[in-house]
Amino acid sequence: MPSLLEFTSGDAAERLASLGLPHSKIEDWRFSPAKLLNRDYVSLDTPSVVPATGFSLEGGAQLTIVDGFIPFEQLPAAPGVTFSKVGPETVQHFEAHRMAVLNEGGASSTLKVEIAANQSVRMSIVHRGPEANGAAFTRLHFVVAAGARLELEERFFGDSSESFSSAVTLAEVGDSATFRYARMHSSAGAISHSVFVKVGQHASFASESALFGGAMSREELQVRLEGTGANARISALGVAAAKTHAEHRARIDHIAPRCTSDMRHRALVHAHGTSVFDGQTQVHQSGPKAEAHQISRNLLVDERAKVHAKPHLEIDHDEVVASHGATIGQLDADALYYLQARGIPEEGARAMLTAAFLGEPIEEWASAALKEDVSDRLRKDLGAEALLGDEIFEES
Amino acid sequence: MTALLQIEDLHVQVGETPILKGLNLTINAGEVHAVMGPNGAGKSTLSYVLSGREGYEVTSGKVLYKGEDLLEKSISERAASGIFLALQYPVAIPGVSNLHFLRAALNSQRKERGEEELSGAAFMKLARQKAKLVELDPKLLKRAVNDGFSGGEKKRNEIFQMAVLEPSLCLLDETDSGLDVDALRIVSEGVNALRNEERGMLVITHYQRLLDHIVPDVVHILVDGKIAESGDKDLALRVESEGYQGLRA
Repeated sequence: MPSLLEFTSGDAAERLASLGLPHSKIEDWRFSPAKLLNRDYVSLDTPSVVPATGFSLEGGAQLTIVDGFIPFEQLPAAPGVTFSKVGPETVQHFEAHRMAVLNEGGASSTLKVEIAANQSVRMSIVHRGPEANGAAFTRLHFVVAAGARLELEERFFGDSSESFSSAVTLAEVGDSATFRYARMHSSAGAISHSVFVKVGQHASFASESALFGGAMSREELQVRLEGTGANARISALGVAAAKTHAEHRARIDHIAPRCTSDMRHRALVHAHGTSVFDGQTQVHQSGPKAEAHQISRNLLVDERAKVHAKPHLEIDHDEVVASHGATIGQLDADALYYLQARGIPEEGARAMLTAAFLGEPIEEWASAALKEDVSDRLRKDLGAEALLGDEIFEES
Repeated sequence: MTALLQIEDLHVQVGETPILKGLNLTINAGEVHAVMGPNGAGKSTLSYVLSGREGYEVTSGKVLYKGEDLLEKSISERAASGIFLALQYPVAIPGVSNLHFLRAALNSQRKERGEEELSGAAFMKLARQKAKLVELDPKLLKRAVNDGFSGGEKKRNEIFQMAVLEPSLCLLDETDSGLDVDALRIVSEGVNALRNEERGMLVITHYQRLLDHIVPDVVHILVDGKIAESGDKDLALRVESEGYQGLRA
């Protein structure tokens, strides 16, 4: 069985060979189970199942990508949207980014989706991860032209804890355009999803994501605010159950003046689960009058739960409003007592407070479908469906 | 007549510090008892130990509630059996709506008692009706529990919950603290509306003024972990004018 290095070809293969695969001595991989990248995986020639046909942009039909194989033949012709198959391109500014290079060398082609100026498009994509110890590579590239709007929902599923998935999403958000990107990761195996976004003048990028940890669930956002008045808002939720790893990494660069950014992260960590948050916001010399905020809140269910939270700011200009912080704690004992004193048994009280902790950010999400999926999953995971009902995520 | 609550020679400590040192108290159904006492006498400890809060260790004595050993029951079992503590400092719970919380509480209690759970519609009707009783702004019902509520709103919310849950024994821990005269009147009217022949109440307060609104059948003065004196409502007036000095051991 080949190592991941052998999955790559072309120029990227050479670059990755000289960079090497990630390992735990690299700062960005210090808390990740990088050893999973150094295992051997099976190369897949065809998708394990044939994806359902009938993808369209109307009626919520989803594009299904199985084992990283993009069904190019299913892509519809739609006004204002162009789908094309292109070869993997190197990610500008991230030429030495190991996971980007691994994906560039491993993905046979890229699905490029271009939204024409002033068009509004909604799209839903489902990724089915490989079975057994298969490896999959997917590369998507979205170009949202000036004044256009893209609402993208993506769900990643995979049952095999032995599998490996590499996903890269590239996006360019044109001037005054909007890209709303909602994701749910629910893969049992190792998955690395890297998102590279460039945001233009007065354009907005909003990311809403829920990460249900698997062997290694690692999501990384690299956002460059390149146009004056650009905005980025990241809201991420992580759940690390026993023996799972949920990792959110985000970096926002304020390159142009008057940009705003907000990074919010919440994680629930069970016994023997690990959550990582690494948030970095840099306001460059070229980005005065910036406003940048970061917060990570972590709830530990058990003393055997692990959290690594590292919010950091790098400010190279005086005219900046910025804040950052992290909290790590357990359920509030007074609140727990209060619910029990009103008749709710301890287990139910714990579930209710945990659901409230996770439900608060979900309330603010714009993607109704993702909100529902994530809420359903949480209700099941918390094991108190009857008690929690629907309202807890809908009323506040 | 069977006592609703019977406390005999109760000793309670917090950590290594004894707080209640041989407290005796009996409340019969239909009676309203007031407990007054100086700071540190053990008033709040009494309410917490009855509700089952952790950290309050009963070292000796017994508490019978409806003839059963109360101290054997968990916090939520006590609530389901009809004990309600209106807290001095109600807790804010961001992310949990007041209505959802209260419906879950009511239905948990009903389930524990083997009763049928209340439907959403029936609960809403009950909640609206009881909110009127304490003049609670209906908007607060949809807000997160006590989150961003004023002091008066929090206390009203406690009495609203009490009205919905219809307990047998109401413990009111300094419900008057932090209330202006109008809020005090509204909260007291809410409490008085719940007085009946089956229900007992234990009203803990520092000030006699609450007892002008909620007139007690018996007043107890708690000093240094014990009942130092019991009497009718005139005892509260006497304490108000003379202080606790003469009652200290």
